[in-house]
Amino acid sequence: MVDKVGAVLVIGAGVGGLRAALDLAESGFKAYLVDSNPGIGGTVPQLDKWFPDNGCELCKLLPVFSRDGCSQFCLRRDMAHPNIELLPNSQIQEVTGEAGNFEVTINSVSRWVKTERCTGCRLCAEVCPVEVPDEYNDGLQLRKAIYVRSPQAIPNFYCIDRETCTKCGKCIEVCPTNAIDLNLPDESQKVAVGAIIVSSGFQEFDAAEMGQYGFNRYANVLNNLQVERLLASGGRTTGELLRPSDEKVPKKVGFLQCVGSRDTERNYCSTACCMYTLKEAILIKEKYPDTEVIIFYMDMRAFGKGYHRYYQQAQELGVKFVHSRVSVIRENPKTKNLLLLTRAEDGTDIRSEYDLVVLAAAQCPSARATELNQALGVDVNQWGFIQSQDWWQTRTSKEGIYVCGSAAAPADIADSVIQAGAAACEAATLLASARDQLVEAEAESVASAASDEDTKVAVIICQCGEEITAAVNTAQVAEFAQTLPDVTSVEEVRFLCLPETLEEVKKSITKSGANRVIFAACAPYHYHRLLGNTMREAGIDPSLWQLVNIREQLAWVHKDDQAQATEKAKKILAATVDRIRGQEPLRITPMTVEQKALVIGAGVSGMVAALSLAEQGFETYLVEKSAETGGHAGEAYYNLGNEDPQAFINDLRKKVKNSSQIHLYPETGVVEVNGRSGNFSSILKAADDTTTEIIHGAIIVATGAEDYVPTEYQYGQNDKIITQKELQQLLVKNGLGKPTTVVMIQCVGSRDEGHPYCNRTCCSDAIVNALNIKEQSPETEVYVLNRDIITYAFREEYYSKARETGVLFIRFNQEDPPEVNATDKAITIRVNDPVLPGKLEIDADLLVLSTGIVTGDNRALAETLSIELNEDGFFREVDTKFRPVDTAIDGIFICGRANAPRNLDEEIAQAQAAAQRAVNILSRKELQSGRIVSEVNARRCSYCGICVTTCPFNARWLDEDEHVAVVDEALCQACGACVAACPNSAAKLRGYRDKQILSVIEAVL
Amino acid sequence: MAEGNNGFEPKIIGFLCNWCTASAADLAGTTRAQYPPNLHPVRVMCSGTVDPVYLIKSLLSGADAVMVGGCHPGDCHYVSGNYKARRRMAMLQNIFESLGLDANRIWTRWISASEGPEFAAAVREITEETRKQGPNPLSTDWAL
Repeated sequence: MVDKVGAVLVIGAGVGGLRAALDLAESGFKAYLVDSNPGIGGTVPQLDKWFPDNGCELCKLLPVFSRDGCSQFCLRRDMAHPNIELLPNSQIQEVTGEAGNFEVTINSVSRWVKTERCTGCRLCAEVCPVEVPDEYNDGLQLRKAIYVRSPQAIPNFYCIDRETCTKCGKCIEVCPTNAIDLNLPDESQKVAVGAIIVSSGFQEFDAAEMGQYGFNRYANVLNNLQVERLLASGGRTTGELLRPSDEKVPKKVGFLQCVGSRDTERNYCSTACCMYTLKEAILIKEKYPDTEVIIFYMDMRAFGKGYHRYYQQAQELGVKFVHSRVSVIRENPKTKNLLLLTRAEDGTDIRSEYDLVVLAAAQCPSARATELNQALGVDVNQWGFIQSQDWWQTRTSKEGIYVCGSAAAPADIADSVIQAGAAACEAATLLASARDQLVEAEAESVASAASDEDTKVAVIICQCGEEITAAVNTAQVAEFAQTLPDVTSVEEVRFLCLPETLEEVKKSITKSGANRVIFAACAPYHYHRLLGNTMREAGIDPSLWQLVNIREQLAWVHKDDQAQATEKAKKILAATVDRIRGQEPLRITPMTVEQKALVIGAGVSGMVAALSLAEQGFETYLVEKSAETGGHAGEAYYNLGNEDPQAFINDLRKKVKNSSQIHLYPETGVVEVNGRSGNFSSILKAADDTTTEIIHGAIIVATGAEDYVPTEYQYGQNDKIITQKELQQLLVKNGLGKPTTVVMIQCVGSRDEGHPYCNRTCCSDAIVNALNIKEQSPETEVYVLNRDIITYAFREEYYSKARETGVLFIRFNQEDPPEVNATDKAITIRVNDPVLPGKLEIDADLLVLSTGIVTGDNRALAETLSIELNEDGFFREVDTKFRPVDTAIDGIFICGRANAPRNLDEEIAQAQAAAQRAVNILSRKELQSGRIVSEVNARRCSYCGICVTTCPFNARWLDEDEHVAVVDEALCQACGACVAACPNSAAKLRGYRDKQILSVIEAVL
Repeated sequence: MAEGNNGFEPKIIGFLCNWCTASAADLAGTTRAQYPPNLHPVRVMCSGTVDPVYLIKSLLSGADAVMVGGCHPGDCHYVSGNYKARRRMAMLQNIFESLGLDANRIWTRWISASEGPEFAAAVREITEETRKQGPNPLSTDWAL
C-alpha cells in the first residue's frame, strides 16, 4: 500500500484544467496547475462570445463558498486560490511512481523577467525592435518579442519570447524596476502528487496543409479562430469584420466545414466546429444583416443542450446551408474575391464567388502531446488522442492518470467542463484517504480592533515609476489627502509592488498606528493577494483596507489632461476615505455541514453518483421510484463500441448493494425538502406510504427521462414497425429472422416542432444496429433515412464502417419526410432521394424508428426542490458551459437524462462531475461565507418578502416567529439584488451600505 | 468642446459591475484607450444592486448624467441581476419622462470584461451627449 499524497497535478490551465483544479482545491486537495503558456485560460480567452447564447459567463467557474480565498474577478484576468499553485511556462519532463504517489519533474522556462519586479507598464514592449505574429490574434496582428499573451492575461507580467529575442538589451535599459534579466535561469522542480489530470487541450489543424483552399496564400481565406478575433471587441479591428485584403466588410461569406477532419487521414469529427461556425454566422448576421452567409457542411451536428435551437436561430436569421464539400478555392487576383467550386447533391457543379471564406479547421492533438503522453506512459489512439477506457471517459490506460476535454477526444467547452469534474472526482476518490493532508487552513482573519479605537487612515499612493505621475500629480494628491478627515499618514512610493517597498510600507503602517489603509495604485487583480498578505502581517483587518485604481482607470486613460486627471484622483481618494471610515470589520460566520448526500434516481447516473460519493467516504441515501435499479440502461444490450451494458450495470448494482455507505430506498419518492446547501432535511415516502426523514448536505437529481412513444409512421399499428430499442432486443434475443430489407427513419420525436432538441444518441443507436444486422445477415439491405448523421468525435469511424458494409444513408428534409404505407402484407416507404430524380420507393420487411427521449413529469420534483425546468421539461443548469451540473440552488446538482439526452459514457461522466460538486460541500465540516454578504436591519424590515423572491440564490427567508427577513450568509453571493429591491432600505450589503455609496456620490461630485 | 456649452465639463457618475464593466474599464487602461475624465467610476458587485435612489441622488447632488454598466443580458454572474437593472432603468426613464425630467441623462450600457474599447467609446459618447445637453438643471432647480 503506497502512502497517498493529497495533491494532484493538472496539466493544462484551459477551461477544463481550471474546473478540475478548482474542484480539487475546493474539496481538500492541493492542485498544481501547469501550463506551457505564460497565462491561464487556454483557448478560451481568445473567444469573446460562446454558443449557444452568445454570452460569456466564465466567472461562474469560481467557487461559491469561501469566496474570499479566491479572487472575485473576471476569470479572463485572474485566478488565485490558496490551494492551487499555478505554474505557467512549464512542462512535464518526467513522471515516476504509481497511482497515489507520483513524482513529477516540472521544467519551468524562464520568462527572463522577474515577476516580482514587473509592473506591467509596457515600456519594454514599446522599445523592443522585434515584431512577430501575435498568437493571441491568431497571426492577424503583430506583437513584440517581449509581450503579454493577451491584454487580460494573468499573470500579466511580461515575458520574453526566446525564439525571436535578439538580446539587443533595449528593454533592459528602459525597465524602471530592473525586472529584466536575460540570464535568468530555467527552473526545474520535483513535486509529489497522488494523481494526474491531463487537460492539455488541442491544437488547431493547420489549414495550409490543404493546399486546395489557399489558406495563408489567399488573403481572404481565414480560419474560425481568426474570424473570432476579428469579431472580438479587443481584436485588431475592434469587433468589425473587415476582410484582410481591403479592410472592407464582406458582402458574402462562405464557411467550409470539416477542414482536416472527417477525411481519410483524420476520420473523426471535430465535434465543436459546427457550433462555432453557427455562432460566427449568427454574430455576422446580427451585425451585418445584409451580408450573405452560406455554410457548406456535411452534417450539421448541433447535438448539445440548446444547440438545435441555436441552429434554428441561424436559419431564421437567414444563414444559408449547402450540403456539400467544397473541392477547391481560386482567388481572383484583382479583386481578391474567392471562387468556390463545389458539387451539389444532384450532381451539378456550382461555382460561386465569395468575399471571405472561413475554414473550420479541426481539433488535433497539441504539438507537445506526443512527448507529454510518452512521459506519462498513457496509451493513445491512432490519431494521438489519449485513449479513454470503456464507459469511463476520464480513465486512461494508467491508474491514477485521468484525462478530460480535447486531450482525449475533440470536445466543446460544455463537455470538457463535465469531464473535468469527472476527472477531479476520479482523483479525489483515489486520494480520499489523503484529503486535507496538504491544504492550508483558511488564514485566520485579523482580529483587529477598530470599533472602540479612533479611526486612523493611512493613505499610500503609488507612482508606478512614471506611469501614474505622467498623468497625475501625485504630490498634489498626497497633499490633498493630508486634509481629509481621519487621515493620519500619507505616503508616496515609487513602486508599491516591489518586495522591498511592501516591507517598508508594512513597517510604516505599524509605526503610524493606522487601523485602516487605502492604496491608490493599479487594478485590484494584480496584487490582491500580495497586498492581502502584507496587510495581514501589518495587523490590518481584511475588510479595512482598500485599493483604488488610479492607473488603469485613470492615469493610463487620461494622459492628455494632467489637471483634470489629478482632480479626479483627489475626488476618488476622498470618496474612498469616506467609504472606509464608515467600514466595520466584517466577520465570517461559518455554517455547519451535514456530510451526507441524497441522490434521487437509481439509474446509471444515480448509481454512479452514489458510488462516487460513497467511495469518497460520504454516506448517501439513494432513492428510486421503481422497484428496479438501472433505469433505461437496464434495457440496453450493446452500444457503439460493443461493450456490454448489462455486465456494467450488474456490476454497479452489486457495488451499490455491498456499499455500507449507501442506503437504497426502492419504490420511494421525495415529497418534501427543506433547508439549504450543507443542511437539508427531506421526507421520503415509500410505496406503502411510510415516511422517513433524513438530514443531508447535498442533493443530486438523476431521475432520468422517458422513451418517446411515436405517433408517427403508423407505429403501434403494425408489428413490423418498431423502435431501435425493440430492434436491439430482437437482435439479441431472437435474431432478425432474415428480413431482406430494413429501413430506419431518424429523428422521430426529436429535432421537430414538439421536440426542438437533438436526442444525441439515436444516430449511434441506428448505426450499431445496422452494423449488427449486417453482421448477422450481410445480404440484408439496410437504409437509414436521416436529416443529419450525428456521429461526433470517434463515432465517425462507425459511420464510415456502416457505409463500407453497404448500409445506405439517404438524406431527407424536415419539410419533406418519408411517406410510410403499411399494410399487413407490406410496408412501402417513399422518400425523396436528393441524388436521383423523383421519389425512391422501398419495400421494407421491417421499419425501425429512431425515437428520442422526452421528460417525464418533472414539475412536482422541481417544485419540491425549488429548481427550474427548461422549455422542454429537462432540469435546467445554471450555465450550460461553465456550471453544467449545478442548479441555481446551491447544494442541488443534476446529471444524466434528467438534464439532457446523453450517451451512457457521457451520463457516467456527468454523474461523477455532479458527485464531485456535492463533495465540494460535503468535504467541509462547515461552509464559510464571503466577507461581503447581505444583512437585514430588523427594525426597518416590514416582513414583506420582496427580498426573498428577488434573491437568485435562495439565501433569504422569512422568519415566521420574529416576523423578519433572514439572510443565510453561506448562500449569499453578495450580488445586492435585495438591496435595490427592499422598499424600506432594510436590506444592506456589507461594505456597500447605502450610506457608503451615497457618501461616495457626494465626494466625487 | 461642443457648441453652445463652452467650457462646460459634465460630471458623470458610472456604477460599474464588478464582473464585467469594471473589468472592461481596467482593460481599456491596459490597452491605453483614451477617454475624457468626466466619468467617475463607482464599483458595485452587480448592476442589479443599483438602487434608483443612487441615480436620483447623483442627479440631485450635481451629476449631469449617470450610467449603469453591467454584463450583457443573459451573462450576469448572479444569474439575473442585469435583467433587474434593465427593468429598473427603463422604469426610471419612464418616470423621469412622465415628470417632465430629462430621461436622457440616465444611461445603461452592457459591456463585458473583454470589451475595453466599448467602455472607452461609451464614456466618450456619454460625455459628448451630456456636453451637448448642458448642465443638469435638477441639481440647482429646487422648484422641481
